[in-house]
Amino acid sequence: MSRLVSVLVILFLFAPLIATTLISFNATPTFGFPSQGLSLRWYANVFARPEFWVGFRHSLLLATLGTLAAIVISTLTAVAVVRFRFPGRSLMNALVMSPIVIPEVVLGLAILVWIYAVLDMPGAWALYLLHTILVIPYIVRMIIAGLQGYDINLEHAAMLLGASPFRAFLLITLPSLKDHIMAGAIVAFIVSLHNFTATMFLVLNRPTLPTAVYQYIRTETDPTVAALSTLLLLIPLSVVAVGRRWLGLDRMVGR
Amino acid sequence: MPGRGSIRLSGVEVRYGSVVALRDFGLEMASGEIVALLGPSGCGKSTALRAICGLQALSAGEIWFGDRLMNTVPPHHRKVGMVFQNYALFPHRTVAENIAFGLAVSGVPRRQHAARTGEVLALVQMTERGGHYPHQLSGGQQQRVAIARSVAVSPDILLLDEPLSALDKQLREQMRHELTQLLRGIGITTVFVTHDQEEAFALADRVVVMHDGAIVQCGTPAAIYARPNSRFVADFLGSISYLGGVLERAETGTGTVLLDDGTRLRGQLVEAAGIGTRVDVGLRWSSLRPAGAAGDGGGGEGSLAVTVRERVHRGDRVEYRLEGPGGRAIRLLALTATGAAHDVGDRIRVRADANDILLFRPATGPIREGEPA
Amino acid sequence: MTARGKGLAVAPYLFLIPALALTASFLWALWGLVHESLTDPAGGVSFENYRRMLTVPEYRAPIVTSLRLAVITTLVTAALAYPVALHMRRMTPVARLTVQSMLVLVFFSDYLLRMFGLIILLGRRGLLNSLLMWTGLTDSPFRLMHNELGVLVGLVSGALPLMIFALDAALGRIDRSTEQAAALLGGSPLRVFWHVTLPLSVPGLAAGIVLVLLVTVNAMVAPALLGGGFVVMISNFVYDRAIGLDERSLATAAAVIVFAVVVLIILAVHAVLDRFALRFGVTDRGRG
Repeated sequence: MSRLVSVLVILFLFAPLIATTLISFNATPTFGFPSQGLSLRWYANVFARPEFWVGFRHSLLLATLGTLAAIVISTLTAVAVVRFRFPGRSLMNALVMSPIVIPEVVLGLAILVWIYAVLDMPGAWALYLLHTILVIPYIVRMIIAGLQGYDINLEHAAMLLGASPFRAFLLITLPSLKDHIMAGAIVAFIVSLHNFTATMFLVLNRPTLPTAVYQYIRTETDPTVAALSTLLLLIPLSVVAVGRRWLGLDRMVGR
Repeated sequence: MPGRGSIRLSGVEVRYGSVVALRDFGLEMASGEIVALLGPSGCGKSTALRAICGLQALSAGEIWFGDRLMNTVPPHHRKVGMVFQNYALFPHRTVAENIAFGLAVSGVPRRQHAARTGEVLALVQMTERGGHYPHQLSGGQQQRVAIARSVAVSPDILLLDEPLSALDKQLREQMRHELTQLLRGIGITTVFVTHDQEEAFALADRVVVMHDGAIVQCGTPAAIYARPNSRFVADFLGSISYLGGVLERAETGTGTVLLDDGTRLRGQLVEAAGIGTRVDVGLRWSSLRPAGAAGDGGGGEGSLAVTVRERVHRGDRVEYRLEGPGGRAIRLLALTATGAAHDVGDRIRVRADANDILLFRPATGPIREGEPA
Repeated sequence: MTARGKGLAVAPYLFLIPALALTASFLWALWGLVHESLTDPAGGVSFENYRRMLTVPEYRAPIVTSLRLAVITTLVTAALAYPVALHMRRMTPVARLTVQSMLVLVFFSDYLLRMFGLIILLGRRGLLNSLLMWTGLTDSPFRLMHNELGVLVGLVSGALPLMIFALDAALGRIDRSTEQAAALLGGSPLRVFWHVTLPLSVPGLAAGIVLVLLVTVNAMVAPALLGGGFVVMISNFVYDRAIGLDERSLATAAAVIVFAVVVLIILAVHAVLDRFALRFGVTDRGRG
């Protein structure tokens, strides 16, 4: 019984991915099946349409900068929260984790209203800010877990061998947290790359990949997006590969 | 002028909130001396070690290395080597890289690293293992690497936290011997922490027995064994049975007690006690000797009548579990080769020299602090 | 990097400067949102936006629709996720890793593109209808999307991996011997599940419910693409009003209401969880 449900669930989850892959090779501009001949024209179209490439570069940039900023902020925050006891510690922990439970429309609209009403800040900055806020919980949670499981004696040993506290952390502790930081960064990168709802509030005339795809789906009905979707499967495939090889899949899904 | 490697701690106190982890801790060590901090877990011995290396801030008191006050010197400037209980080898670095780490961060030129690393690896007989990672080594090998790593930077003082506790029993015996040789060979001032009295006695020049954050007794292994200054120390060293009695007479250092069955014993009065008060009479298992059957008459001073309740063979020795005056249990360890065997149920006499009988104030509740004898 | 002595009391706050700057900016932004929602066109304080949101049926509808779909999505995902999570527990490590990899693969593929895949599947001339007509089971295509059913399928597809992960993690923490003991005492598999496994997995279920709620509230693509304009959920409502400047203050009130509802639901879930843990702890001890 549970085996049957499991198979059906997996099939249900994979059906959209399988369907897009099948359709992407259609020769005709329809979503029909069985297809009338095979073709790679939609793949060619992905590269012919400038908005996908523009959106992809924008998304990569956002995800990269947001994730890098979040790694730095999260590492410092995790050190403070794990290594020190101070007033406001649990409040701080709750605050950096809170974006995960704030509805995206709330965050997106709040920043939109704030930026234009209060600061009159250029829009590009607002997106970087949003994406950094969005991904911090995923990284900070991972680094806190890493620091809590870390043997502090290693850092002490380094200090007693003559390393300053900063060097001991940099040369001994940080390399030990490498896997946790990597796992957090990968999840964060993908969350940022795929973010749609909050991002929609702050994209102006420069689309991200999801917003470009969304516009395309709304205006065109041909399998170009299916071809793009098939190409983009490389991303989760490489996540699974990296997760299985080095980081552990359990950790990737936040457990 | 105190020399390099000498240590003086005075009035050291460590508090965590309202909990006092270490109180009025005072200790002076000469250069090259090996001292063991001995006590049960939670007695403050590890806190003392962390205070010496600077990982633990002091609430009060002073720590001097030679003629330098160390209170505000951070750990990385103290020139103290430490071997952690779990060795704390850097898992992502090879043995050689572990050792070279200290050299690198303390500014030793890179071209000298290989020579020095080889030197200390040879010292601990691990020359072949330079390229291995810590997880590829056995517990004993990891410990040697940890020691090599600590001494590579030529510290003034070496600290060891429970150096042998992570090893299994057989390896522990062997490493205890090797560690003794190694520490004597290096000649470095060493403080180590242990809860194992055998380890403390075997390795140390001097043993500091601690309880409840304070020093209870400090002296050479022989002195502490011969004359524990309190029931706490005697109990901790173990292998001792107690009888109850009343102090009849006290002279300097010795006293005479009247046991509950009317027997008189003379022994070392290790704690001051009033005439006519009750005292605990400590009898070391190994110092008691069978002295014939009980029916043989008085048997002289220092002899008492007991009943054999159990006989346990322990290889070269035989252990008798006896019932003494007042129904108290007494144990006696005798070499198997000497003396006649006694059977369960036999009434026999046992005796001990006055030097081996220790008179304590009765243990009423936990002993708070070490009072002078 | 370690707490040493009293002189370092300021150190943690130094580490927190960047995080404080970041949280301060989004708290400030949230305050701006609340402020905007309470401001009338003349600049005075007014609850008019909230009054309109809660009394005008057209404005209230998206909130009601979102909550209804959130509840249904939660029930459906829980019903589907439990068998999968239970089955994953019984698998060999290799099989388990395979299933886990497949779930991670789905989870980390683009949500928007999965919704697009569902359009391909569920559309009038989509794969599913083509297949049904080809096999002759039906002559005319079914209406599988551009209604709430289509949106629901999208929401479930998006939320299901999260629920499975949450339940799998919770089930992994249950000591197998507890269930084995219950089974040895004569409990049928269903009774063991109902009386032992289910109660012990409640923390995971609670985590799953919160995650599904958030995914549903955040859903904008599923209703827009699979609802085809017939289903308006809260994110679509807020976005559509916010982009036109004239109704932005109404959108801010809607956003504040959504936030309040989400926070209330999360608090309620935790309250129930706490009470449940307490009660379960007591009954557990009572049974000895």
